[in-house]
Amino acid sequence: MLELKNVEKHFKKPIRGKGVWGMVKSLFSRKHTLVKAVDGVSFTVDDGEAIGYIGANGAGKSTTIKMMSGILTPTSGEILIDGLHPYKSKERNAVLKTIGVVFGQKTQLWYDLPLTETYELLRYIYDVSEVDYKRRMGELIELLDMSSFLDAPVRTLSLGQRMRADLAAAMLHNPKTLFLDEPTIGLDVLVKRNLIDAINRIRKEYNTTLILTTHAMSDIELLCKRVIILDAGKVLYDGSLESVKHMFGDRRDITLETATPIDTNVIERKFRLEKVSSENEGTHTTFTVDADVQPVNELLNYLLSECSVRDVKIVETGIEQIVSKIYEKNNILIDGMKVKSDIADGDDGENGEDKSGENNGDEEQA
Amino acid sequence: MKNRLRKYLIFVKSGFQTVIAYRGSIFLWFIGGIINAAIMCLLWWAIFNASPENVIQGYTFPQMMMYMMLSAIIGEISFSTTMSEIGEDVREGVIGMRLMKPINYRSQLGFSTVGGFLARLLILGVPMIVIATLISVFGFGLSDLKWYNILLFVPAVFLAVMFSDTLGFLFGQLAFRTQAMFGVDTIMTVIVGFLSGAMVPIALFPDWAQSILYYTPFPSMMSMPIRLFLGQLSPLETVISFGISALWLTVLNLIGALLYKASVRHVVVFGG
Repeated sequence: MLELKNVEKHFKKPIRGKGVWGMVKSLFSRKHTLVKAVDGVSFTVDDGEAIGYIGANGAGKSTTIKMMSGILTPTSGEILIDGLHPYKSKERNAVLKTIGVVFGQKTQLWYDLPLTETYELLRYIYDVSEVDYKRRMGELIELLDMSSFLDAPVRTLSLGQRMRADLAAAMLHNPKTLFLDEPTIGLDVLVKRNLIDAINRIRKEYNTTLILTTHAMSDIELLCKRVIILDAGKVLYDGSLESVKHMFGDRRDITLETATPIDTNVIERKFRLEKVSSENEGTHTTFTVDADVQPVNELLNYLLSECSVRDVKIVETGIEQIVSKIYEKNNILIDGMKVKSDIADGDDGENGEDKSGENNGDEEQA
Repeated sequence: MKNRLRKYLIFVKSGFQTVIAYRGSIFLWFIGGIINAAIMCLLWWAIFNASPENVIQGYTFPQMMMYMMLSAIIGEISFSTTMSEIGEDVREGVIGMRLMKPINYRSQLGFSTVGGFLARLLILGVPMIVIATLISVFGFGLSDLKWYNILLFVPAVFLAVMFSDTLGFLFGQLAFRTQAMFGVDTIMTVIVGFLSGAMVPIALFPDWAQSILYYTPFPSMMSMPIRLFLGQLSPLETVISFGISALWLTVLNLIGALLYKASVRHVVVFGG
C-alpha cells in the first residue's frame, strides 16, 4: 500500500535577470523565490491498483515520483510505501527493492553492454535468486517478445525494443509497485499498443500496483481505472476514470456521411443538440450531444431513417478533452480549493476500486 | 556481506566488458600509447644529446627512455572513466535512475574502474610493458631491473588508477553544477600530468617543490610506480610510498563522500 499524507515539496529557485546584464548580475546575486512544486498532496493507493497520475508540465508529477522513489525528501508530510519511508536512508534500500521505475525518456540499461548482461547486473543489484531470475526472465521475454534482441548491445536497440527492455529491467525483481513515466513516448501506434497490452498482462500476472504518468490519455484509458489529476502542486481530482469522463457530461460526436447535405435546422429543432458542424459541402455532418440529456439511440434512429446515410461514426469524448476542460476551468476560477470542491460534486461517488478490466476505447463503430 | 560484495563485484565484470566492447578503440589506445612514448623518448633523446652530462639528476639515458615509455603505458592503463561517467549520467539525466537503485553510486563507479583497469592491464598493459622492457634492455642497455620490482609495479599502478578514479569522482561532481566538464577534465589532466611527473621526472623539479610534492597524492599517480619499476626506491621507501598513497586515498574518498551528499541534493532537484 502506498500512502501520501499531506506531502509538500518546496524548491528554492534562483531569480535570473533578463538580458546580458541581468545574467551577469545573477552570476553574483543569490536571490531566490520559493516554488511549491508539490503543495499538500494526499492519496492512498491499494495493492494491485492502477493509477493514472496526470497533470500539465510542471504540475509536480515527477517531483512526486521522485519523492516516492526516494531521491527527494518531502519538505513536509509523509510518504509510506508498505509502511516504510523511501527517502529515509535507513529504510531506503528496503523500499527501492519493492519498486520498479521506467522513464520513457531515459534508460536504466547500461549502454555498452548486451542486454542479457544488464539483466545479470540487475539480478545482483536486487539480490534476485538464480531460480527466480531464470523463471521471471523467461516469462518477461515471452510477455514482451524480446528473444530476438537479447544479445544485442543496448545502444543498437530501436526505441520500441529499448522500452520493452527497460520495462523488463524494472520488473526483474518483481516489484510490488511500478512507476511508469511516459512509457509510450515516441512509439508508433502498433508498438505502443503491444507495449500497453504487455503492461496489462504483467499487471495481471504479478498483481503489480501501477502509477502511470503520461500525457497520452489513451494510455490511461487502456491501463487505469482511477486517475489523479494534479495542477500547480495540488490534487484537482482523485476518482474513477468513468466519473471523470462524465464530469462534463457524456459527450458523443456523431458524424454522418451522406450523399446530399442534410437540413440540420429540422434536426436541431427536434433534438437537444450541443453543436452541429458540417464539412465537405455538407456531406459530412457532426452532431455533438450529451448522452445524459439526449439519448443517442433516438437521434440515431431518426437520422438513419430520414437521411440517406452512407457511413456513421460515433466518437466518445476522450479524457484528453476533459482534462483540458478541467485546466481551463481551473484557470477561470481564482480560488484553487473551490475548483476542487466543484469537481468533487461532479464525482458521482463511484469508488476507485480497480476491476482490472480491459479498455474502454474512445471510438465505436456503428 | 558476501552478497553485498558480489553485488559490487558484478560491476568489476561490467567495467571489464565495457572496455573490451569496442575493438577499434583498444587499437587506437594502443597506437596512442606508442605515439606518446615515441614523442617523449625523442624529446629526452635530444636533451641527452645536447647535454654534456651522461646522467641527468640521477637518470641515465636508458633509465630515462624506460621512464618515458612507462609513463605512456601508465597513462593508458590508469585511465578511469569515473568523471566522464558522472558527467554523462548528469547530462543525460539518468543520474536519477542510477540513484534509484539499491546500490551505492560511488562504489558502483569505483568497482567499474577496477574492472576497466583489469581489462586495460591485460590487453594493453602487459604486452606494452613487455615490449618496452625488451626495447630498453636490449636496445638501450638498461640493467639492474629486479623481478620483484616489476611485480610490485602492478599494485602501484592499481593505486594510481584508484587515484584517478577518486579525483574523477571528486571533480566529476562539478558536473552537477556546470556543463563545462570538458574544461574540468582538461585542467585536471594537465595539472595531474605535470605534478605527477608524467613529462618531467620529479627529481628535476626544484628542491623545495620536490619536498612538498612527495607529501601530495600526485607522485603516486605516475612517478612512484615508475621509480619502483626502475629500482630507485629502497624497500623502506617503497613501504612509505604505499602508505602515503593509501592514506591519501582514504582522505580523498572521505572528502568525496561528504561533497557527494551535498551534490546529490543539488542534482535531483534540477536534473534526474
